[in-house]
Amino acid sequence: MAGDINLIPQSEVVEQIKTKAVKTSTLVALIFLGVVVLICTYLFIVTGSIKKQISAADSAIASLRGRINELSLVEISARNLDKKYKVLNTLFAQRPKYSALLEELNIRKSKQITIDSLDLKIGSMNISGSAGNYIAIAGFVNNLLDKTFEGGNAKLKEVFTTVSLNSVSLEKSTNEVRFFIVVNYNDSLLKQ
Amino acid sequence: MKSGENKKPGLNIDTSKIKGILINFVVSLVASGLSLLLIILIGYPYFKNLSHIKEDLRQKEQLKRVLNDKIVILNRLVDFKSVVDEDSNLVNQVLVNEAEVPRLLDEVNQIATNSGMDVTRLSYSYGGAETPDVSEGKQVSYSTVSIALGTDSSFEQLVVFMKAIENAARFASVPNFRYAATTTIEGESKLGGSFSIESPFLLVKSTAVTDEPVDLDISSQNFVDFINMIKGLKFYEFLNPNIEVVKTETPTEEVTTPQE
Repeated sequence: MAGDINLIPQSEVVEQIKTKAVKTSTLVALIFLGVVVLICTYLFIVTGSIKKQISAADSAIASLRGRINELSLVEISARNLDKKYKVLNTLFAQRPKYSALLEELNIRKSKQITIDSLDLKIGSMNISGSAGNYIAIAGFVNNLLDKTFEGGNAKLKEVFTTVSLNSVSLEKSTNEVRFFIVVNYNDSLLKQ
Repeated sequence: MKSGENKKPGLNIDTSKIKGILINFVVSLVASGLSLLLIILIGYPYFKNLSHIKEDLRQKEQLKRVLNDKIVILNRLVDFKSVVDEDSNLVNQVLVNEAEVPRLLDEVNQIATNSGMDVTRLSYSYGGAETPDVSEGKQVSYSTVSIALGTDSSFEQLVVFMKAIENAARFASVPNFRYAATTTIEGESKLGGSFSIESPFLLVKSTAVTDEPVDLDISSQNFVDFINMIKGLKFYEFLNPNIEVVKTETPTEEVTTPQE
């Protein structure tokens, strides 16, 4: 079987390899240079464009600032109004409507119950009073905690959260039952 | 060995071969050098700077938008100057600039008497500064006048009084109160009430800050609703400037300790 016989001399083969290496490296270097030049040009153009936009924005900002400075009195007046508006909004939103709480308490109180004193603070109130009998007191406590109580303010159905019956005593001279309860309420329901 | 072929001791470099290589690769070497130079002088610095100037542009565009919006808001405020002045006047009556204690006491006295109560005690003191959490992390401190009010009334009158306080134009709140059944000299059964009433006052002195936006939008529904709500409140005239009052050094403590 006849094989290929390379008759090119060894020195010529080396020379060919050298030439090929030179050509390849030159081509790669030139392509790389071309890519670098393109990238640099792109960066140069983009940066220049952005700097122009910044310069235009600066001019516009300077012009707007001038116009705003001319309206400084209006701005001060607006800021004053805005600040008070925000404070008042917060104050109104945080103020509980105790009139509604008192009305709800009164509606849930039967005629047999007399409140002698009421001490109200944020979130709780101490109530002392008297009733004709123990059942009336139990009914009063149940009414306060009744989440389905009819006749009251629909928004305040769950306003009273807990009721602690601290003391109950029978006053023999008047045949009345005196009581002292601590009622906790959800004050967020009383806010606007 | 011939004397002319004597080699010098040490490193023996064949410079002609190096020269040959350099001549063969001169184009690629120059191209690589130029590429490196371009990268060092232009590519890297511009690339590094690009994100900064992009961020700079973004901030300036944002500032431009803010200022543009601000101009629109300010121009609208100029167009509706009379409305703004009227709204400011209303708001200043609800949250007054100064304590105006006599006016406040007169208002409380009017509310109590109009509700049918008998005023038995009326004193005031200056409360501490309060700092509510207004919005967006901005906090505004205001001072308060604390009033201790003693009354004789019925339960219904007490409720009417609480409603009137809640509906009064000058903002006031009742953080705590108590009442107890008492019998008058005439034998009449009454509720003796003690109220702690607080009313804030705030002097606002804003300055014009060109680059900060003005949030106020007088045409927004929230603001319109707020102003309408204020207009629905009851404004009291100052009837009795010489009302008798007692100034206390510290806020009057009216609350009893709960006996839980």
